Amino acid sequence: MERAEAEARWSDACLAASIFALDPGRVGGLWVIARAGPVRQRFLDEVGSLLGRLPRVAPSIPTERLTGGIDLAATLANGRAVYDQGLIAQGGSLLAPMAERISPGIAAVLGQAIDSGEVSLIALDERAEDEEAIPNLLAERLGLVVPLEGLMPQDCITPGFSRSDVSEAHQRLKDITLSDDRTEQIAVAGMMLGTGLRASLHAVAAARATAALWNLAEVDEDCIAAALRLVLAPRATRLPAMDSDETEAETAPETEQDPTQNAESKTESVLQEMTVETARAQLPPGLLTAMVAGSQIRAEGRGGAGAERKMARRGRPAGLRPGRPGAGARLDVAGTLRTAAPWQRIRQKPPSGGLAIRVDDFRIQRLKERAETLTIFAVDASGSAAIARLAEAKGAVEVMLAEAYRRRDHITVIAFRGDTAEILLPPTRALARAKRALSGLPGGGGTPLAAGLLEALALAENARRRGQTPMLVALTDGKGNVPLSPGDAQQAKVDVERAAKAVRARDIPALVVDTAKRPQKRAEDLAHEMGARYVTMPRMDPRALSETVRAGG
Amino acid sequence: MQTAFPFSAIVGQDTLKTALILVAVDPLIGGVLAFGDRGTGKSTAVRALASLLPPMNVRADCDYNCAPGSESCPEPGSCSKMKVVSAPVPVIDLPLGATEDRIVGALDLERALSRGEKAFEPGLLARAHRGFLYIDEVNLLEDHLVDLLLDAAASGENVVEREGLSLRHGAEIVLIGSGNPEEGELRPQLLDRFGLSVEVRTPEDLKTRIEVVRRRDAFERDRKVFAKSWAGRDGKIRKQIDRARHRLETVDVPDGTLEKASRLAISLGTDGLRGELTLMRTARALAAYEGRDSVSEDDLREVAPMAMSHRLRRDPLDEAGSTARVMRAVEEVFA
Repeated sequence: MERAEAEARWSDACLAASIFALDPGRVGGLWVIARAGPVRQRFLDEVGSLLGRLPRVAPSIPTERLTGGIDLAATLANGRAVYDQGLIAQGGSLLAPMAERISPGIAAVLGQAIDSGEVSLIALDERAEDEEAIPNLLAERLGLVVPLEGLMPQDCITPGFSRSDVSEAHQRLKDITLSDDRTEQIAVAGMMLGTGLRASLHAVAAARATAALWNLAEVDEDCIAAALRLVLAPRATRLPAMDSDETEAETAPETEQDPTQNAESKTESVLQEMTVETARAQLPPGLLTAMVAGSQIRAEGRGGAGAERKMARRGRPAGLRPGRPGAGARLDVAGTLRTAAPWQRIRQKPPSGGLAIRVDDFRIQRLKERAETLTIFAVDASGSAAIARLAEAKGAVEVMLAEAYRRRDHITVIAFRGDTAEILLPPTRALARAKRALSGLPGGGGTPLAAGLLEALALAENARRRGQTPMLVALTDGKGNVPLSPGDAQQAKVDVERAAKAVRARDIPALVVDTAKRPQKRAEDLAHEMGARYVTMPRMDPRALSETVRAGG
Repeated sequence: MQTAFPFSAIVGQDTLKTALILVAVDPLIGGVLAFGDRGTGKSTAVRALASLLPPMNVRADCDYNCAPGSESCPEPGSCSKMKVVSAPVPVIDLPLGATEDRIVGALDLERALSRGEKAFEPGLLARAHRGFLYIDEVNLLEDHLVDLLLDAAASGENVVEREGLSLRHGAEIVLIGSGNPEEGELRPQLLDRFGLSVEVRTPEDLKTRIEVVRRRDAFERDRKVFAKSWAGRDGKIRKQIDRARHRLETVDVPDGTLEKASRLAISLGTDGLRGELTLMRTARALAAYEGRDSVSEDDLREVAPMAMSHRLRRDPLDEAGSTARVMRAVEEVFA
């Protein structure tokens, strides 16, 4: 990264911290993306100088610590009810380290508290793998995004605003004016970048706060640009066409308008064109960088309940174990009393005269849940397969998807072609998305079969770690011709063999569906090496195929 | 409590607004499911509607929100002595991580452990009695909890039989479920038990988006002033809902319209009678809201998508949206 660019990013980060300190209620939160390290520490010092020490929300925090409730340990020790007010009721800003590990349940509680204006949140996103991500419903509500990856400590020289700067800005904030044209610019930018409405609202707040910090009476172009960089750009779901791509830029925003437009609104469209033009000119140089960073920071896109389910909150009871109630566990009153009973004589009676129960007596119910299945479809979309029968393979997958839907399985789709394998659809139960991912799948190029298998294997192992049962369905003709690292066709073959054996070694139930026109020895060998069942497509209709999947691979 | 965004100031989202108004007119329609994009003002609309509704009378410190004079309170002794006060219609949020205990209520641990008393600590259902229970991300909620909520809302009471407790209290609740179907779907068995379903999308036209941003900005800058400037329009809706509630009983449903509703349900192949009953009820609420004495075919036409689209047997491979399928059937039946 260029030094100047890095320094600009750092001063944006400082600006974000000050905006947050100035108007936490309207921007909702700071989404800081960085692993622990000197740069992040430097940033947190900056935040600390503005806001002081903040209460921390650990990812494993029990809901009661947030929402308040009875403090069991203190209650029992004192023999009278001791309440814990809860972090949310205390209000103010909270700091959440390891935010990528926050469960959807906790995220929902925090999200509601942000919505109601009770708290605002600084989330430290320390994700390592693609797997981990802040739950979407929370990420949405953290208005300002601060990516610190790639910054070096020497880039972080410029000091941010001071506490007194912020409090002076606070005086000015309510008198800042925002012209209609500027509001429009934010709305246009939101549409061009394909972000949600909430982001536009955050951007307006950020622009106002920026103007107040910069001691301006009115939100100007630079304030808007800053707001776009901090709020909208990192969340972009589509790239605005840049100058190099003139034609697209001209048409894209318009087509969305067209259906409602008619001849008499011509002036309006001209006006709009102008705004789009300004907005594009507005999109500052740092934007692309922010968006590239943004592509790595996309919040999780899959159903968030999965992680929680492994804690088994339902299912059949499977005995008692010591533990604290809350966070999904239910106190077993009878079990607790039974544990406490033998000790009553030797324990000192509480002043109120009831039973002497200690925290250690608590017994909670353990529940067992049927393990969920993750079906991994690895689809060969290479040239050879595409010509032969990509369409049919898609059809087969669709039928199997319908089946998986009925069984409430989780599904994921990997496609491999050209020289890589990519996850088309991360594990989900949402059929609609699976279908969309599949129908948009282009075919062509070489066959990086080994890469596809390894990607599938990685997903399978992840699923196992989450307590799911993985199952692999590979649709291919078995003709891998792209090795993992540059090499010849022979190398590709060796790689495929090694990948297949790795699948077998991990004991992943698998099924190889031969997509070649005529059954191929190569595909059958592959199945053998993977320890998978082998079926050919020609002899079966898609429904029979889905029967095979249901039978367990 | 913070001032809510005025209902009449919400830009667009007409279907959602209509659906909410209709369940406010007739809560027996049974809840609204709002599926679609995030940040489209679903929660805002629910809160806005609740704050627009006329306040209700409650006993000052009763944990069960019962109407004064009702006999449903599980603690009639203490409750009947309390002062009657007026309170806003509650909107209770059901957090995704809520446990069964939090929802239905549970043994009051504090009193059980410190005083050895067996007492009930009411849950979210009690707090939402006579109001709205808003379930964000309902599609990610455990199925058994959704089931529990739907049961309570349908029967209008919460029956507790657990941990040696046995009691019942009123739970007349309008459930509002929201979620993003891309992140997981609701089981069809549960879908069908919501009265209405609407799809909410991020507006893709510039004018609407600008207006949303502008109004929200004005609201954030001075909530009171903004709310005041819309109070007149909100008041009109309040009156209209109030009148509709009174008129509801007298709205007539002609036999021909009844028959059309049945034919529509048959042609859509919905299971059971729930679909057509809801369709009729919703059409009647619409007629009442618009100040008419009789349900017309246009009423049916207007409410059919929201009352029926989530009841269709799911064809996972059909690309056409369910709303389109309903509209198609409507055209056929009313042809």
